[in-house]
Amino acid sequence: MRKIALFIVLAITMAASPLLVACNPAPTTPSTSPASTEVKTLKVGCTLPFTNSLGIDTKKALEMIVPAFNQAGGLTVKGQKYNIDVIIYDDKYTADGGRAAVERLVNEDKVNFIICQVGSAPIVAGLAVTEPANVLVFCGGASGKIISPQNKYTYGTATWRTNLAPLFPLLKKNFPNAQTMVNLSPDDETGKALAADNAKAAASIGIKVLESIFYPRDTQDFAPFATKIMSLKPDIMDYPGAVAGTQFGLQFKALYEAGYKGVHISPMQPNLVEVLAVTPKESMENLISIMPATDITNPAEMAKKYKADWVAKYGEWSSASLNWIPAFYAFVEAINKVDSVDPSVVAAYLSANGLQWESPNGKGILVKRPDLNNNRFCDTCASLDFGLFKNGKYEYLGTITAEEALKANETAFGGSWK
Amino acid sequence: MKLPNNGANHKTNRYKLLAIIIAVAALVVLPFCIESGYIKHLIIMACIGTILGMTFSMLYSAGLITLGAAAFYAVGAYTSTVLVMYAGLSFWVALPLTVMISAIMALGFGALFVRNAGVAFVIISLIFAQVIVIAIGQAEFLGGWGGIIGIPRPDSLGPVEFATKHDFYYLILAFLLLVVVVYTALYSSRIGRAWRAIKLSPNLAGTLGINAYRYRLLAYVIGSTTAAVAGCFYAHYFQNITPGAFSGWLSIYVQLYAVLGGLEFYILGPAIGAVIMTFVPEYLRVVKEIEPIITGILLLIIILFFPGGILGTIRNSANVSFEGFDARVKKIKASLTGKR
Amino acid sequence: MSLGLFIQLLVNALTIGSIYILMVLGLDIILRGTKILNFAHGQLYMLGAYVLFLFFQTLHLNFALSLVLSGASLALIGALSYLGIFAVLSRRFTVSTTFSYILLLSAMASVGLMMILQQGTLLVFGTQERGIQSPLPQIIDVFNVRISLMRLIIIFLSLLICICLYLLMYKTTFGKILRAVSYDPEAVTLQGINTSWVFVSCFALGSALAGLAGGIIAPLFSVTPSMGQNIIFMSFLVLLVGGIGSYRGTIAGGLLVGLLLSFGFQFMGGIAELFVFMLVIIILVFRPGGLLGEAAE
Repeated sequence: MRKIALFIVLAITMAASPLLVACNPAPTTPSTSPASTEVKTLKVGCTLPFTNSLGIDTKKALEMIVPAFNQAGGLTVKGQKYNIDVIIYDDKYTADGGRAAVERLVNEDKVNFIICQVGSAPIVAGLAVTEPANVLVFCGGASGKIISPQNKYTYGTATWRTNLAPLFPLLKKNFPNAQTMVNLSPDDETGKALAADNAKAAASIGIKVLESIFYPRDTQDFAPFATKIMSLKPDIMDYPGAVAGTQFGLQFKALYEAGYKGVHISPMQPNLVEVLAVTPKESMENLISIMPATDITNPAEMAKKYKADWVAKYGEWSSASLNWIPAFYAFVEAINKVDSVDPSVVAAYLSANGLQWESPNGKGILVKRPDLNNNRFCDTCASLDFGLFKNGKYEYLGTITAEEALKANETAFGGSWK
Repeated sequence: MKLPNNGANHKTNRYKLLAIIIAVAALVVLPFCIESGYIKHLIIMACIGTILGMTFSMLYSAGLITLGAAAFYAVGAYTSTVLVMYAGLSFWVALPLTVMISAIMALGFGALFVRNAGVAFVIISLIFAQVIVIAIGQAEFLGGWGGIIGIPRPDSLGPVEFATKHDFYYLILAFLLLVVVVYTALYSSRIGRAWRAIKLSPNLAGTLGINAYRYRLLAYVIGSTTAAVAGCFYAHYFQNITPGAFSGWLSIYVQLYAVLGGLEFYILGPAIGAVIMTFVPEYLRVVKEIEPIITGILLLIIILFFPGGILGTIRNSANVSFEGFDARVKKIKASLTGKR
Repeated sequence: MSLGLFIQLLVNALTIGSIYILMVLGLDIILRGTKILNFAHGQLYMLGAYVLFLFFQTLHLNFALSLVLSGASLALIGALSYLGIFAVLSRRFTVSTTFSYILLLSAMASVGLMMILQQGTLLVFGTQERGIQSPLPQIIDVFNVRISLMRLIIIFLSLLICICLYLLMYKTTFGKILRAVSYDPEAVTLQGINTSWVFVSCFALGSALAGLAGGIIAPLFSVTPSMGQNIIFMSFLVLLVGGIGSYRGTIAGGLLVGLLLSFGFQFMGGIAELFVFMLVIIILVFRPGGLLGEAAE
């Protein structure tokens, strides 16, 4: 009898689940009454992986800055005040998970804007929903498919695709004798695409790429690769598309153990806490990489405040969210600039005129990608801060402004990006 | 396992027919009752899951446990995509071609794999699914790890344009019903009986003149081809595919569908399991981070305390009450006749 | 190819191979003893690394002691999981239950266990990736061949564990009972031995091996919540190559796969992994029971 009772409860729960999902509070339809004094709510969607620190940190960041933004007055569009309500779902870092989450955001919660997504797989899977539904997407992700010409409503606000070229002039200045380079990249779409871009950018400044080596994505044992790299004898090691956590550290450790003593460059921001947990400091000597805008010698006001707020709210500082959070600031700037909450109007304006915004990660500008046959403003060049690991210390090396980054990209890949 | 076609009880069969008609009718009108595109998406995914689950059940009915459902799901998705996008064929031409190509592939690989039953087959099927994923990831012309985007929708079929989830739902429903009809026919035929005999004891089946190898190979080919059809639909419904979507974990979920619903129910079991496994995690989005733990505990509860899965439990409790009901009816009848 | 390169590649192959061997010995003991194809094995490996992290990095215990403690904790976790899940499940099986049914339900139960352990670890330890500073960071440099001392220690420790396991399985009564159970539990019961504790110890021993593998490798690699999901496929593959139920086969399989991967990456690049998979399938076609195992139905 008990079994049957338990079963019935279970069965009812299961049977009711589709209905319960369906019976979420109905979306508040925006009333058409003009400029009332009451504050309206603007729903904005987001999907993040809840199983890795990129997703968790970005979630924390949104939960920190959005309430503060609303408190400070929120958005004002045509005299109407809006508070932003961010709805975050788990996308499990997979295509199927991302698709389900985006379906829910677009069809159930009726959001018109999606921001701050992290993983390429869920973003690309969601495009098949957001594009036909005219949902404006400001997202991270390194995949070139995000800025493919067939997309009209999607903007990449992370700098993965545009931060390779600005690095090389800096390298040349600091290490003029370095001539040959090996790329070590994950064997996935991002790694392949960035390694190819990287080779192009390096060639434009006269550095010879000896070989691009690809490792399976979840590799932990880099000793075989280090052995191979040592037999090639490069002056420079580059890691386009690498994941910033312990895996990055394991690469340094393996190279150090194999006896590599040259320069390392990396167009991303290493998570030093995680990296130094697995590899000795000596292994990171001569690394030039992107430094969080919050950690440079004289950080901008916005960056200082962001870090202080984070520490006040969560205790330990973590810079991982800095790469993804510009999407929020770009979104706010776009709404303010166009003075509309209609995604089609905003997209039409942005695609034709571009956009500039300030975020804790520095200034960002939308650019065209003629090299990818996309003549709409769709990708992002941003100001980049670089650090150098010297004598066991990670020190600020210099900043490249968004405009300089744009110019360096035009030189390396060709075409007018403005 | 009661055979459905014993024909001894015409009344039961008539009720069964009625139930089937009602169920199909309900499935046909279902999308009109649901407004949300999100729920429709989940229902479509559950239908795909059901088809995959049924392929697992078919192999299980022949005593083979496969963890490779994702392998031919991926083969179907990519074959059809290549045929449509590179060869410029219509979806309706690519579909039968996909079926043919995957059947030939399944025959070739199956001939090698099916020789090992038991644990070895389980692991080989799992590894094969991984091999397919890695091979696609390495193949540049298949888009590598980044996959392919912008896969066209199926060409319109008369007035049906496949622009909305409605149309896709009816397409997958048609596939599903077709699979159900074919599988039911197979299970009640000589082939299905041979499979069950092999599952019970391969040696005994051998002495009865049943060639276990051939019958298992047949199950493998049919199952794989069905999975390929599901993959074909998936590619054109999602309109973009990546190798990551077909990883080995998917296959493990697929067998959960069958186990949850009830292993003895080759058709309905996977359907119930797929619906639950699609909707419950979505419902559990409310609890966010602990969702996988709750799903895991639910799974363990069902495996440990409800032998025979959900349908098995329903049948057992229903049998008990039906027996009571029948007894009461007899009593009343007896008393009535007695009075007369 | 120079001799130096050869030695370097060999050491790489032996390190990774010995981890596979430990993993697969555990899988094999569990599979043969209790008929469970343990999908949670990767998560046990991950837990082993986390427990070592706890003892060694947080509590600053001695490395060897931490390693023993991590093996012991995992044996405990394994025993509890068996008693809580699989012992309950096995009560349902009778003599007439088909093998495929037992195999499937046990495997599914282990998938449930896997989900709980995976997400539980993530919640307890957080998403941050962690590392363990190598207790022996020295590098041996002989004639320009540079080999990390830790790698040699790992190979040595794995060898030691294998020898201990061999002595346990072949030289003690306990081991004899364990082996006997894997052939015919009924016959063992008839000898008046209570088999239920034997099943528990099989699962505990297998889990302990997974924990030791995770613990040993932790100072060389990193400790991340996803480390268990990746190694399980390769472990299953080694299990098949070596042959289920063959002690020597497992060792041969682990070494073969380690060598193929190490030398493959050097000379073929990223495609090596695919090549290894293909090769394994070909081996299995010609030797269905694996290299040294007997073909099992």
